[in-house]
Amino acid sequence: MNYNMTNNSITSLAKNGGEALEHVAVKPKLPGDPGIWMIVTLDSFVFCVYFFIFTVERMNNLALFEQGQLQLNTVLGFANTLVLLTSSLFVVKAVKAARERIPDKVKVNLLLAILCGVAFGVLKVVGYTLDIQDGHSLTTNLFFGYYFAITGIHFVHVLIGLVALIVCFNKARRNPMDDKYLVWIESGATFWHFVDMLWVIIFPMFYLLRAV
Amino acid sequence: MMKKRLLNPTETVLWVILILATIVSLTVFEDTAARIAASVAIVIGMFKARIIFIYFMEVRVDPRLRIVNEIWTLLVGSIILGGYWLTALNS
Repeated sequence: MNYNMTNNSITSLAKNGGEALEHVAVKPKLPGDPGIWMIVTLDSFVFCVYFFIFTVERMNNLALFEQGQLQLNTVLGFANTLVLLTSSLFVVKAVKAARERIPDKVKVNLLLAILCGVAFGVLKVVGYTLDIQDGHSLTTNLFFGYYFAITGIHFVHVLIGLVALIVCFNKARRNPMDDKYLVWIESGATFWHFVDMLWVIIFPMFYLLRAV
Repeated sequence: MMKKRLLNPTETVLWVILILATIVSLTVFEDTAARIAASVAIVIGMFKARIIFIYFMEVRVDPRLRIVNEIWTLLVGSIILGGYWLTALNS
């Protein structure tokens, strides 16, 4: 948890013959730069629209969507979920280490998170390759159109998150663990968790939603 | 002390919960009737999203943003689950 110390909240109390006691109140604040929260909030509502459109189209083309879902590789989707959740754990540990000013721990955890992110990318490419080999593409039908579009947009988010984590890793190697670095790593972590959060919804929506 | 620990679980405990929840949704998918399995999978997905929002993203420190995120999760869950059941009941 991040704490923001405000000057207004520092109150001086004079007691017992003029002896001054300072009471410092700390107020927790959101991690990272406020801009990243703006991006994440707006993006989450954009994805909400995607989910709505997908649901409406599924309602109107149930047989087609059921058939499409049966052809997806659930094991690969499951593996993708596991590696993304594990990467999030390492990112949480890296942020914690940055707050405790332990550079080595930050670097190790960020590296592990990046490796998990790369593993997600590799699994996704393998999944797309298998889908294409099975004759599916963005234009095959409505279901695969939405599948490739939504998971593709999510994949672009993963790549952006990976770049952010690599930048944080490089900064941890070269720069001191100061407050400025903390803003960097907290912002990168917020985006990465957001990407993870989207996937835990995309996974059941595409792979586990069956009617029969 | 125990209550405090339950309210502030460590990241590893949360990760274990998230992984177990994922395994449960997949097991239910393999072994249970389709409508129950799909509903459980979506509810578990929303539960996992909420954990990530509140604990990993630390939204718990900002009550206003937490409300926005709770509404978002509820909205997305209602859209997907509502759409699913509307279709299921009409088919």
